[in-house]
Amino acid sequence: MSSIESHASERAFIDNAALMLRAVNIGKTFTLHAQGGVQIDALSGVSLDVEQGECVVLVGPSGAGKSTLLRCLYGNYLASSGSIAIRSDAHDAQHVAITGAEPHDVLRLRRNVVGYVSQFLRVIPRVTALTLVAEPLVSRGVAEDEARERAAALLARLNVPERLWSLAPATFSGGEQQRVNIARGLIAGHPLLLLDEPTASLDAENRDVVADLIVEARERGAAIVGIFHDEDTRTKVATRRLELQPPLRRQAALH
Amino acid sequence: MNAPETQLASAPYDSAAEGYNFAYLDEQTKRMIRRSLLKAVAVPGYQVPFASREMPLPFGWGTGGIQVTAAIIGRSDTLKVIDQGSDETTNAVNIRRFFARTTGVATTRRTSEATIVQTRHRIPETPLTDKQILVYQVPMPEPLFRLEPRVAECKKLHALADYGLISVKLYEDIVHHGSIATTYDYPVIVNERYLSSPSPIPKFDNPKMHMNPALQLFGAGRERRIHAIPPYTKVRSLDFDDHPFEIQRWEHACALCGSKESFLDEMIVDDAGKRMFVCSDSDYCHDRREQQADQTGAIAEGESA
Amino acid sequence: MTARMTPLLSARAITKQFGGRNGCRNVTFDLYPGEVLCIVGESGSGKTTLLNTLALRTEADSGTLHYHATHGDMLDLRALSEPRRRLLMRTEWGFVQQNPRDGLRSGVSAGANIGEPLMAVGARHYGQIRHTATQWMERVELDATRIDEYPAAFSGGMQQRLQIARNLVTGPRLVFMDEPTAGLDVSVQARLLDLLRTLTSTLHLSVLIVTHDIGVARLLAHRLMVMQGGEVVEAGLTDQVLDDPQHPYTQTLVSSVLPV
Repeated sequence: MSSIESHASERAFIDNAALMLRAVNIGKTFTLHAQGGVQIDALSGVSLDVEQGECVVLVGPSGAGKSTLLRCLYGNYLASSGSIAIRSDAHDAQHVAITGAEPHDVLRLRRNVVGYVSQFLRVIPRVTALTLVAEPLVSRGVAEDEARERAAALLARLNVPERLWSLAPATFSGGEQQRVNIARGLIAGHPLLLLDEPTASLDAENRDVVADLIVEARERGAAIVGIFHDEDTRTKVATRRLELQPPLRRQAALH
Repeated sequence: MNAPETQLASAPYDSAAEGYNFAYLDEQTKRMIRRSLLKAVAVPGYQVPFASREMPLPFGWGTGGIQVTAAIIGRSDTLKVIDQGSDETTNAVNIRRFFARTTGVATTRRTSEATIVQTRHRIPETPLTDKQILVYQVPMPEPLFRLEPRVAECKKLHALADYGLISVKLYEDIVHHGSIATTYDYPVIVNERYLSSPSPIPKFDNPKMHMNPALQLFGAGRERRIHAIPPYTKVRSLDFDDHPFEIQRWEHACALCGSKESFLDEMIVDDAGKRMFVCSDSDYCHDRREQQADQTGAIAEGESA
Repeated sequence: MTARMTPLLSARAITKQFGGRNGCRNVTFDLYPGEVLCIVGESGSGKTTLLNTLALRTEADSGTLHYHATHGDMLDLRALSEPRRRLLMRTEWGFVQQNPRDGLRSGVSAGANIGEPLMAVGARHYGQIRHTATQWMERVELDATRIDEYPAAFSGGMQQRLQIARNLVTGPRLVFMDEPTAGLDVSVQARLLDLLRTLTSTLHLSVLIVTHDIGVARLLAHRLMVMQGGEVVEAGLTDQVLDDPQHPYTQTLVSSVLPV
């Protein structure tokens, strides 16, 4: 980002102690080289500030770029334009600009600050559910025994049967996988949470459990940005909503 | 040239055999070997390459030792030659006669009277002095040659003192035999720096190399290498902390002189397979028997007086 | 900005070519402690040349290489004398070869293979060497009762585990791996990858892996460098490069992987 923007961000994070995330004028364009270089605009001109204790729910029609925005915030997608800055720790005055950051800085942020629950559980083969859920704690230095206990408690709360804990999630149902995913995303208590349709494959009861967990996180001071496909959950968790629209222009192939 | 020698007493020749340069080799060759020897003495345990000559006997019969002796022997020297401790084997006899004929120097069986002792595969039991030189015949001077067949890499290992490989060999010995099984040519570290092969002497003799007052020179003719251990140099046999170096011991004593400290050869004396253990070092055994005879004689005289 | 962490290995404009072509050109990157970086590319991409140059097995034509040694000094690797280089490779680095037989001594037992790096740095207690070798065999999931068997008695996947143990026994900080799972049966590969995953995370190793297999990269690596025709065409976080590839070649590579 330019030095003016960077200075402004710096002031924002210093002046507002509760600010966790500042995204300014985010744009994302995909260029598909294999298809003659056709470009697809997924996001255009999105800005968002999120403070601790907030839960911003992204709403908008399909194709509006909600998922894309979350992935940009996590560094999973490279934003084509704009800037994204995240506070480097819950109580740190410094921030990290995700856009243009070194990989190891982003990795550190992901370990300590930003948690992400994706729509699909990226299954690591042959690793048991319990180990998967405990892993974010272990990588933050928690003793393995304690990590596994806390993982077990969270899985139990999410109604994942104990007999599944020592199995690899590859064979679980969609809903079971999703609950493992959520547990893994929430267990470490990250100060910034990005949630992409965490309740999509869950029944009403489990949706409620997840909604409770999100509210608890929020009340603990986490800053949350989420996409939820059902209105009940949205109502429960949201402190405000941000509406996204699909970008107005679609560029034709230039080459 | 092949008739057996009947006398063992010192027999100085009036002159060397005609047509030979003193000690057979030309002066330039002797000078070249001496230069190599100086280098070897300056870097204890380091293998110095030298231009090994064709000698009147094939490689594998002591040409390296002979060339070293030829380079250093002078008119006033007294030479002893042993082979596995014995002065009487064909090799020892022939090499001694070779030097007698080409130099005219005195030869002896007695370790204490020799100024140069050339040896194949044993160190004399009689302790040496700082007036003596021990010349070893060496078949393969490179202790790592089976473990690292690449010569260039081997040289680097020595240059960098990268000697983990020899420990691997000893480790494997313990794995397969329960203890370090090497009984001869047992690897040593000379002057706390170079890994060296002491030549195929039994490990029993290794401690004698340590802080020996004599100069020890090693000649390998076929491999074209010379190395040296200067007097009073540290020589340490390799081992593990929990498998320390140990020399061989026998339950028996020498059947001829009764020694329990010397290296014993096992000899089969008749067709029935009867065994006898005898000192490998024939001079040492002979000396002990003479001393015992003197003592018995003295007692007898004392009785008869 | 957060405080700058010191990179473990820094490469700037590393070039190594053969007769003016092939090899690798102008490669620049930093590797940080605890990071696993995969160099991905197809045959002829220059990835193996790059790995060998970084590991000092081949002399680079140009560029600089710096390494942050244990005692805190920043070493100019290209200016290192051979004795220092060998010491570094023996104490702080490891190199896992694609074919385990190239990285093991076939004439000595499994225990001796694992124990040799310890003996090379002065270990002198047979019992302890053996004990450490036993522990490492267990760690790489080999039957420790086979400690006295020769490498040829083990299967390919087990030999590879043996080679990994031999490389990790001295506690290196940086490990280079050249296609560590290529040539192994798929199920054997899978278990080996699991082992590598566990080891790299529990030991906080920095690892540079060369592979043509994107699945290996996804499973093991924090970061990816994609090579084509000797140059790095794209680099970044693994999930970012694989989920949002920018370069045409990367897009082709990613889309070529058959989804399981």
